[in-house]
Amino acid sequence: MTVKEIQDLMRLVKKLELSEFKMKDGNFQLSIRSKHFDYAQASKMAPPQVVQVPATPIQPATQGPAAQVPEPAGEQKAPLAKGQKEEEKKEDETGYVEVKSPIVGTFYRSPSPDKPVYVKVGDTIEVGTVVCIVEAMKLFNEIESEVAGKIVKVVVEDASPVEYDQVLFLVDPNG
Amino acid sequence: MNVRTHIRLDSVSSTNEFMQFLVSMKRPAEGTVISAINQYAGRGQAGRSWHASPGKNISSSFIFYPDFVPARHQFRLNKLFAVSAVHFFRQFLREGNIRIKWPNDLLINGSKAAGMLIRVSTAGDLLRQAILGLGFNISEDQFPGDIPNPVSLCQYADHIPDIPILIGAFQEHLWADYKRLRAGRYPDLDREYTRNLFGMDQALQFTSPETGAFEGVIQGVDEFGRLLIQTGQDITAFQSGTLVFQLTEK
Repeated sequence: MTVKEIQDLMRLVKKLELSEFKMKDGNFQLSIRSKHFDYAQASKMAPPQVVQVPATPIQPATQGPAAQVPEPAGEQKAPLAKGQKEEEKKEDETGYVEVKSPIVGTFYRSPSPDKPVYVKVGDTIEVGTVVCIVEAMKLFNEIESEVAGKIVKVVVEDASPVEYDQVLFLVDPNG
Repeated sequence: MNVRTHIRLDSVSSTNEFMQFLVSMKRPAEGTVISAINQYAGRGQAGRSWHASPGKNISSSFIFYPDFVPARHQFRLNKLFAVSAVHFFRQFLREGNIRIKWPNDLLINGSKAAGMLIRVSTAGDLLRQAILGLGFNISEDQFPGDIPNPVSLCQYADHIPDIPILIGAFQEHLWADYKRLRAGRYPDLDREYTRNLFGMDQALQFTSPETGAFEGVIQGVDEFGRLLIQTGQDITAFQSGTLVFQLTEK
């Protein structure tokens, strides 16, 4: 990950008023906390998470006879990591991230008819990449992507009218 | 109060393109203007060329970062820029009636004196930046045949200062009106836009590809900037530049 990508992420975290953003990509881990991050709240929330892990073996014990030995503290991280993976998988299954039109207007894939399209299927885009223009009343609006990933589908035909919130592109954030 | 920069170029293909280039390199201060004595590949609506003789026009581009404006309300910028242009022309006009032809052309006595092209960037639901490109006819006397009904400010003014001074004057109007928008005084700008709208409350002839020729009365614009035209009992909202209307007020 480049410094610019991290800066873009920081901007996005700020803009979306997220309190915290965490990501993991192979060995690379990143955590961004904004001014909205509540340290007091976080420290209150943290203990239950720790408690939850040893709690899981106890629950089945009440349901079935096969009593399980609480896992050693060193392995506490394992179930957490597994849970995270499952979450990521779910994202894959629920589909892709949608890039929507913020306005009513006419959708254009290129800056002008004689110029190449901004993006096409298979292109890798970054946060802030211009993906199209939506024109309304002589006002040309360059739409920037808020997600990084790969374009998997261009939903709207070039030069056709679009409504507010209409899906324009599908992006695979893991692509 | 911040100092507003004016970058003057002798010659450039398009001030808008140059501004876009500048923005991609470094973020110029809000309100910065780039002007060119000779803009040899200026653009109008939908790629139509914009003709300008060197030194006889204002060909310039301004940069703003209106991140307080929701993307769906981007037409507020259009209103702001058009109203500022009205203020500018009124400062110098001796006679003649200045009107905004929807969405953002400027007419003096029904003839086109100025046009603008607005390019905004949106990230999510908020605008990130806006580049206003404009062409004002100041002392232009050469109009190619395909431009309908052009006119220059000099025909309606006694004394016109040099172009850089005029650009400075417009920059001041623009900045003052921009501050009004930022201070939440959009309703004032909205009223001014409507009050200066060409054809307001008057019966005019229109043509559109969808409906053909028809007569209607302009009622104003809706929140998205669409032109509202009453025909009989119906009010229709028109979008984009497909609508053509006659330029003589009754």
